[in-house]
Amino acid sequence: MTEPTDALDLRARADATALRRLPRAALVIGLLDTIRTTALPLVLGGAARLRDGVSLTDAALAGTAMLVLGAIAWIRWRSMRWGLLDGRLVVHRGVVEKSRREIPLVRIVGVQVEEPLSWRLLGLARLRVQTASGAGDDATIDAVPRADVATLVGTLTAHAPHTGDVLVDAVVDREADAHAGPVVADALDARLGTASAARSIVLHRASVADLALAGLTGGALAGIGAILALFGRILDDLGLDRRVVEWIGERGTPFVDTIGRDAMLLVVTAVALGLLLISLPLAALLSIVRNGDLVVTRERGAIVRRAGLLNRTERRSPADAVQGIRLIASPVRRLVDGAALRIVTAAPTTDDDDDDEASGTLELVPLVRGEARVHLARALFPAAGALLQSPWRRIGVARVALLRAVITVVLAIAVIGAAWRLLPTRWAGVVWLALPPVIVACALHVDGRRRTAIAPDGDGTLIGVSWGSIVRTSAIVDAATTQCLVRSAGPLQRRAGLCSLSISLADGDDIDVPDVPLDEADALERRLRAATTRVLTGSARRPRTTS
Amino acid sequence: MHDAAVLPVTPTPLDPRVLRTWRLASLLGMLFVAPIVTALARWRDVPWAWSIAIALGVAFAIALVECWRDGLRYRRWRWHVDDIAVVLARGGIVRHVTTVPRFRLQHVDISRGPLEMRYGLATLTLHVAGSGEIEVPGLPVDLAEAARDALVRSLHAQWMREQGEETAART
Repeated sequence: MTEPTDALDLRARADATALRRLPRAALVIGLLDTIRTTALPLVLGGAARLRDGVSLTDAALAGTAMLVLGAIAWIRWRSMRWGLLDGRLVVHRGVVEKSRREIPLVRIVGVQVEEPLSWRLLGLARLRVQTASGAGDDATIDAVPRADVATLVGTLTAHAPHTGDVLVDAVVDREADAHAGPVVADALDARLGTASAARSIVLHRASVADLALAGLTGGALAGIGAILALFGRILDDLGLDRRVVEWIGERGTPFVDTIGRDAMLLVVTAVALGLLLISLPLAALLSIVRNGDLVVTRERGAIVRRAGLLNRTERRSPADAVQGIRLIASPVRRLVDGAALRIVTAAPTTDDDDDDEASGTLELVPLVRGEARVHLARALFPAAGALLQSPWRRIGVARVALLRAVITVVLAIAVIGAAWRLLPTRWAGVVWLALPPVIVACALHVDGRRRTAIAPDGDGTLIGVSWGSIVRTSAIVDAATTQCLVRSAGPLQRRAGLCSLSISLADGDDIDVPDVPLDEADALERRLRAATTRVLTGSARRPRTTS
Repeated sequence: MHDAAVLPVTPTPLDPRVLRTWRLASLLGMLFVAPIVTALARWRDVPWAWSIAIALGVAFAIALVECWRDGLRYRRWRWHVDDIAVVLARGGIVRHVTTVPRFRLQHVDISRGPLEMRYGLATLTLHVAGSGEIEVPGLPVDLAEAARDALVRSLHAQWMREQGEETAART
């Protein structure tokens, strides 16, 4: 009887030589990361000890810590190997806790390429590989030489499905010349003259102005600052702020005592305006840096998004895994007739900023304006274009929301009134400041309910719903990709013959359709069931989902 | 595809024994509420006898409301499985109807807590991508297992059919 082979013991495996180590530059990056993460605590610790004088022990401890962390970086580098073996991607990691991940290439649905600045300087990139497991990144290959990235991505995605290429390409053919300019024309020329493997059709290229405008929405802090400044003046007119200042003054705040009430108001207003002045351009700049040189293309059955001035990222999602789109129109975006465009995909990716969070929603373009929005939507999701151009019907009913708002405001007045009576009289009036936000929130709630709208039936394969008050969202999804449908009705809704619908998608981000008449909910449910029936009877393709 | 012998095809209530498990769980919960209320009352310098009386009163009132809510919840609970979807109707004050297309099921679990084991019941948990899990509580164990098998079998049959269609399309 032969000894069982340890599946994770690389030395005992016949394929050990076929797996490659990371290049030495990856070790440099690992060491740089170690220095970056340990430098701040060491500097702070050193600064704290400087007062007493840095002893030899301190220096020895710091040195040992850096050596240990450096050794860990070296071991990590030594222990990772990867390779392509018999149609599988194999990634071997770890020394103490070993892991060997094998992903059949046919199961790969998406590849994301990242080039953080330090990696770019060393000519390297990181590849994140996604399957339909729904777990986000199923494998990460670090330190791939940039020269090899295109070939490797091509190999990894060679088996990705190409379903729908013909249809979408036909749409792009029709729309390209008029709306995407010379870039697309060049791409089309290239496509016509080359083999299918070289296909690359530019669907959208973001301008710097659009990115800056999109960033302004992120400057919400600035808006709050401005409102605070305005609010400060109103309080001053009402004389309410005097009580706050007196209350603070009573507790002996030296700052207020020194500069006085008017000066303090001036400082608050100045700080608010300063925030406004700084945060707006800063938000715009951050947006440009983050999404700079953004281009969305369609290549070999995948939607590819490349963006980033310093840290460059390439996300690749299979076109047939796109289950729908979301258009999010904030007030700033609406000013220029634009919206952010996100795709709902069944191939979740891990966000750059949050390595633990895998999401099936990917923001493709932070701002797309006017007709370009329709054409981009059509190129991504063929039937969506027609739906966006057709008039949507309002189905939201506001009367229950209004009743809810009135009840909320009355309750808020009762609670605040009670607090006003119970609290010490000198600053009790301050509690009434909580009322305006409640009233504003209630007004927005009613307005949002009133605006809920639904797209026309069309061929019944898609469902379009829009909702929201300040930020308005329109979602268009393939009806057959619905994971589950929840209809709920509270006592007020039941009396008014209304209900709320929640349509769950594979990306985990539900579409909520609140306060709709029962007949509308029935119609929507019938459409979803019909779409499901079409898939079950084989008259429609089963959409890809996580599985 | 449809296994009518196992899965309820018309809206069906849960097993009546589940009401007992829910009410027992509510009453057990009161064992935690009573000491907390007693401690709060003692903290406000209420005499011991009054503290215990208040705690018992509060616990009894909450238990009464919970038992009424459990009864309402049980009366509203209905579930059935048609050719297309698993449909669950539930909720006391706010009512929910959940429709899960059968081919959207990712996997199906059965779980049993101590009270459910005591009464020979089980909870069937349906997992779908993105929305987490949907539970059908209070099923007799054999029904839960048979329902799980039937749902998984129909998923497998659907998958086999699609594989066959894909192979046929390729050739």
